[in-house]
Amino acid sequence: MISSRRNRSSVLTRLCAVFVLGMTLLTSPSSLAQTGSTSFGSGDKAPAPALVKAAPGDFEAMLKNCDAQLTTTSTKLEACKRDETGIDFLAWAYIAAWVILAGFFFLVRMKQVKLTAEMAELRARLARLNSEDPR
Amino acid sequence: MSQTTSQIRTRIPWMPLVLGAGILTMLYFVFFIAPREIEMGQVQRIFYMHVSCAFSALLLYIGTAILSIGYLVTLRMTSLRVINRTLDRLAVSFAEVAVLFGTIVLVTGPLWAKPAWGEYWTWEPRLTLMLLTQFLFIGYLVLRAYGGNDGVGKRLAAGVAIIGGPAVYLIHVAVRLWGGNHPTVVTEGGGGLEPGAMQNTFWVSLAVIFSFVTYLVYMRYQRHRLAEELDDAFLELSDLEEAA
Repeated sequence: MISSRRNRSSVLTRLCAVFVLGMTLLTSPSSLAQTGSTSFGSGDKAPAPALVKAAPGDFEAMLKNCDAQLTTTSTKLEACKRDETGIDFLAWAYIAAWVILAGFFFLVRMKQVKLTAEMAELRARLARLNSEDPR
Repeated sequence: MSQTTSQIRTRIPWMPLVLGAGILTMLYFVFFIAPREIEMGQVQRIFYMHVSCAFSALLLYIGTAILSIGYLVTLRMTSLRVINRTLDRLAVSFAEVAVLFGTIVLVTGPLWAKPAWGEYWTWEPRLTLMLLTQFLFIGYLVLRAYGGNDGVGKRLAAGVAIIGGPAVYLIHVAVRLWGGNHPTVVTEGGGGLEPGAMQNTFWVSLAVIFSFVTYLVYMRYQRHRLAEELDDAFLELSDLEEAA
């Protein structure tokens, strides 16, 4: 009984560990900067600087890690700022495209109304001619 | 009445439904399937609409030029009168839809350029040529609309469209020949869109826009045919009325 509880708790602990590890990896600054993003055109991807193991007192390594974290954080902030303005332009571009298409359909519709009126006139004149025709 | 049958034939009832579904699919791909681009961010999603419309506009410009050549060649051949009229109607339909999509390109382009390049417009070769070609085809439509019914306007317009044909080639090679801000994303092998979601979204957008263009050309062609048939019917009726 006790052993089965222990087994269950160890499985739960492992699952929790995997979950925490997964979430840490997913939400780490470098992975956030890359998730769902792909490069476009011939622009090269800037590789995210890797963190190095810094022993206590190894100030050089600590500084490197500091720089790496700063770079990824600033990249993330820049991306957010770009998206903030970019989304407005994206929305305007799609709205403009559909408005132009709608305008075109409106013009086509107006011409169609004119053609229908012409056709009605033609029918009326034809009917008048037929009624006047003695045959 | 023949006009009534023509009117019925101008519509394909199920086509708007298919196109509507296609457009929704395209938007789903653009906003939910395509990944966010690293360098430009969300604004790069304009690409899928902008480039598909640009391809369509350029193909339609070329199409108008080729059809106009055909129209001028068959102009004096009495045995090919039906073909001549068909070529003429097709050319004007192509030009109308080309100007429509050219306008979309020239509007969505600056909206993408501002966040990507920092300014709405630069007088770089590709942009300038695209603008000039668009003006040329607007001129074509103006000539068609106000050039008179005696055929002179049609012939002049055909000449204008033929001049516009080579301009399309120059737009295509402008970046390679003279440089500019435009990337050579699709025109050169390699270095383009990454295979996967981005490329799939682009192909879906292209397919949807091409279907849309085809339907619009078909619709415009049928409308022009109907308008011509009506004009002919009015002339015949006037003769009959005079005779009566």
